[in-house]
Amino acid sequence: MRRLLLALAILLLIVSTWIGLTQGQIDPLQRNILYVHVPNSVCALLCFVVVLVASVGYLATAGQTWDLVATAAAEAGFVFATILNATGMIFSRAEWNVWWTPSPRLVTSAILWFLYAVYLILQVSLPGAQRRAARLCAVFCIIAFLDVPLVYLSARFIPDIHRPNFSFDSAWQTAALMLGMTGTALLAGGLIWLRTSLLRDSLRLEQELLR
Amino acid sequence: MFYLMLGFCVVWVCHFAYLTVIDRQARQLRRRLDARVNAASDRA
Repeated sequence: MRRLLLALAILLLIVSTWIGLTQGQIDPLQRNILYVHVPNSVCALLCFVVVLVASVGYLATAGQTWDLVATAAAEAGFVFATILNATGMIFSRAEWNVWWTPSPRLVTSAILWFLYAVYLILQVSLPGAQRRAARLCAVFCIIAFLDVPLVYLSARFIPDIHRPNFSFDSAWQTAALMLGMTGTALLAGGLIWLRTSLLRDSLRLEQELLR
Repeated sequence: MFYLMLGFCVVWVCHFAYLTVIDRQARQLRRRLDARVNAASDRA
């Protein structure tokens, strides 16, 4: 089932890329990066919403599954946030002739990447009991999430080089973006599912070995 | 064209790198489980 989900996601991403680069090409050519930049950005933020929900769930119930889901979603979100920043920089270089500029959305996106990098480092390096470390990570995660609405709202309320929204000229372009969104969302869901079950199995094995 | 190709390459490389990492961890876990099962059957 999980393999099927990932295969479907990759298929949708290939179809989206093909439609985007043939039927729904945006002029000038470099703007077609939007077909990967936007879905990956949206999925990064969605993954961080999952991390927030799982962290709150862990603090409320102390159930280990919440902690595993938070770790898995944070890892996937970090990968998507890396793509968000990398494709954003490439687009910026092609469109505005600079790799990076201190605009509100670019700064908040960079801060977001660093915050979740710190979260992943904390997950593996906090000393002491596992439960205490997981609780500290959950609290850190709730604080780190404050940057997510800032990323979304910054370009809407503060004058920014980054456009807050965009419109397409043709139905092909909308279709390419929607397929890209669906494919990336399926990929994110599949990755979180796969990673959570892997973490759970690994934890069970370690607990059995300790007995 | 160069920046467009670079953008798409970054995306696919990142996705496949993470999938490869997960796949490797799954294989390692499978090996550890098999070793444990073999050790248990040897003892029996």
